[in-house]
Amino acid sequence: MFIPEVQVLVWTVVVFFVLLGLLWKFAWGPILHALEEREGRISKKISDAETALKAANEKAAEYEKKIAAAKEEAAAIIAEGKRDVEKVRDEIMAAANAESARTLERAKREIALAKDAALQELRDRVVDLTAELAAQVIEREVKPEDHRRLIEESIQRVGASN
Amino acid sequence: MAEAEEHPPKGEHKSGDAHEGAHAEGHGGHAEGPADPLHHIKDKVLLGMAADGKLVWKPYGDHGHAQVGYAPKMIGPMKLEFTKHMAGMTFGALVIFLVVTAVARRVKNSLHHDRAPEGPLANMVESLVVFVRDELVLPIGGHHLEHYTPLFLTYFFFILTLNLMGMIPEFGGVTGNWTVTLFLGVSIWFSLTLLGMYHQGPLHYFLHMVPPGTPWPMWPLMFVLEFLGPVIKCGVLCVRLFANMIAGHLVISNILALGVIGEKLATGLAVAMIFVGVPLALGISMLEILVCFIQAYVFTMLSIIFVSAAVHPEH
Repeated sequence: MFIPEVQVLVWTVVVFFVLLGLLWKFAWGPILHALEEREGRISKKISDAETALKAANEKAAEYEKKIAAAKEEAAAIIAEGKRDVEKVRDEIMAAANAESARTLERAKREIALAKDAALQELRDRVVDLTAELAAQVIEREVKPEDHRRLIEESIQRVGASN
Repeated sequence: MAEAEEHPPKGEHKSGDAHEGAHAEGHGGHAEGPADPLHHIKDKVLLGMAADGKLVWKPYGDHGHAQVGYAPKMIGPMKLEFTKHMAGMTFGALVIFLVVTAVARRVKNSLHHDRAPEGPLANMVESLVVFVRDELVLPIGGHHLEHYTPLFLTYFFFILTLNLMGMIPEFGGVTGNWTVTLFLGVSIWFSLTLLGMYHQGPLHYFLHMVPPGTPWPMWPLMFVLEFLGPVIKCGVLCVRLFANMIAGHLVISNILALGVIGEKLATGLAVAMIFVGVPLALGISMLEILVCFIQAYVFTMLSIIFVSAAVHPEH
């Protein structure tokens, strides 16, 4: 049995090489090609996914930054609003104070005017009364011009002595 | 396995058959003396062409004795005979072709639909293809041998299928036939020589077999040694596969033959030995299935190493 059987050898050569040729063309070639193609597609999908993930992360970071900026802005707006409110309140208060001060001033002025008028009237009354009394006392008719002049002089004196 | 157990009833059944005179005679010898341990694993001629051009079915019977008046027609040293191993090999090749082309079709179709192929057959073949390519060809041979992946895939599937077929009773251990493994070893030698010459240039290939820096008086001797290196390696490849496969078949058939041997001594002993032998043979058969894969792997891996060394001497 240790002499090679020529017919078996020849048959093996034929079968093996026919199988090799057929498989190379119809099986291994297409299978290996398909495997490579699929591996290419899979690795492309993986790299695509990685790119997409990176982009998404970048977007997320960007949005976070935007949100932080918006929060800051909102805080600034609120602070400004508070400031404005205080300013407006101060202004209103100042205006109100000024108004009340003006009103007080006017009231004082009117009081003063009224006092002056009252004093003037009083003075006139005093002059008239004095003249009347003096006329009655002196019993002589003095001309009204002299009369007035006399009273004026006496008032002047009274005023000067004050 | 079943074959060894079937023999005694088969022999009795056919002993009266007129056509099987030689067979009955052969079987008679088997029944009296210890069986030829190689009988079970020997190749058998299924169909022979006699010198007069007549086709003869099983011209040697089951036990190697030629029928009266039969002499095979010869073409040079070649007998025009078709043996069990030739049939098994053809069947195996056909199975590989049908299965793998079907898988290839499915893989192509699924690629069109941008999906991975489904089904156990496609996944099994594809995983073996990927294994050979990614674990053997690419790591050992690099990208220079990637182009030859189909060659190694064919060796791997051919050897694996024939190894596994050898585990099925009646199919015959084709890779336990040393003519077949001789072809496999020699074809690897041809592959590495041709590919080495193709990639390095024919003259360069032979000149660079000798390591550079060899003193010139040593050159002829080194050339002979370096030339013989791959020859011996491929011879070892042939013997390794043959010996591993035939050893398993021998062990299994002889363990099962324990029952036959026991029968000669005492009937009770035969029964006891069958109870020991069958589970033992079952265990060794499972080990053999592992060996089928290991030997296909080892053969493919070593071929890739040898071819790679021829294509790139620096590696």
